[in-house]
Amino acid sequence: MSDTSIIANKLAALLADNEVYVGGSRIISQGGSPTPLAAVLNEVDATVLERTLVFSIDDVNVSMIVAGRRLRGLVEVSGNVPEAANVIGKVLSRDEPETLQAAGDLMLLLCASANRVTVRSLPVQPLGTSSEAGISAGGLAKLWHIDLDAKPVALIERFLTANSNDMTAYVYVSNGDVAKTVGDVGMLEALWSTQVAEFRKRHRAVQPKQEGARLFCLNEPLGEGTTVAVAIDGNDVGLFSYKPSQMPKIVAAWTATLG
Amino acid sequence: MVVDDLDALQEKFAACDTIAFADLSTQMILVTNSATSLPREGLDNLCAEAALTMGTKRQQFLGTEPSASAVVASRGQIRIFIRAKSEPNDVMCCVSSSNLDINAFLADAQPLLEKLSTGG
Repeated sequence: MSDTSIIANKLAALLADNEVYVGGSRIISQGGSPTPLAAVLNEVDATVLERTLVFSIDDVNVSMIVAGRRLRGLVEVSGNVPEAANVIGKVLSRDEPETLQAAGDLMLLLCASANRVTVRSLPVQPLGTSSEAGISAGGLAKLWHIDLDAKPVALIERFLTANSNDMTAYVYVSNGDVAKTVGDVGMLEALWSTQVAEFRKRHRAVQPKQEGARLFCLNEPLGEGTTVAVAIDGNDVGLFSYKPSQMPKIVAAWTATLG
Repeated sequence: MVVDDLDALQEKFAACDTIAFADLSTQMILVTNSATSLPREGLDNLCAEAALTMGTKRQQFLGTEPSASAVVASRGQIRIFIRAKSEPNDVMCCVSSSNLDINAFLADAQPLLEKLSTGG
């Protein structure tokens, strides 16, 4: 077999011990990383034996029949998703481009702003005939314009972009350099250049066990009515100001991003 | 008794593990709720984090003024620090899981802190 090394690598990746499970399902995308639909297609690409893969994309469950690293079709979509009607129960084939397009549109819709995607592998369900092989994951990626090897956007950058409507200004610092600014950032840049490094050093000393990504939201650090937040993940830092009433929403978005 | 007030607040907000009343001028936790799981060292670190994050009259590490309140969110946990309006060295510190209703907690915690701070 010409692709035995590829299959062996994929099996080894599946045996990796850096996986997280929730309710019996494995998390394959969290907070947009890796890109949700790329994660789904990579799971299809990693599935050799005929299985039903049940993807939970936030609160929607999508059941797919997968075999030989090919997606044969969708058999169930939970909830009220009108776009699923033209796709469920049909084997995907290049001879049926409208169904292929409808399936792509559906998956793009569900994955567009998905915060979490999990997968569970179940016994296969019947779909079509054995000669209807479906479409390979690589083929679907080309048809649906998905980059399976896309480098994930950094957590801080993702968080700032996704929640920018609740922020009045922000600075994104990557590996020590200001990579992006939005709004009136004069004070934020001043805090970055004069205070953040020392604050981080002191915080490590008082909370040595609190490693990992953290968000600090301060109320009135620059006087009445002001807010400043600092989001830290390794060498990436985001500084932003926000409306005080939005603080609980921003904190909830942060904890959801972390998973 | 102060501990009874903190216990009542913790009972109402079950997501909270630790609710503590602290004096930033001495950087000491004065009293905590009965069921806190934090050992002494953890409480000391919590108080030090409150002083660092919110700042004191003497020094601010983030910003130019002592903050009125602060929230620190990490994976699965949030820590809330509130400063008493009547006495800026008096603070309440809370350690909670990330599903705490922050607005509801602050609505109860701030008045309680003011009461404890003024000895009421």
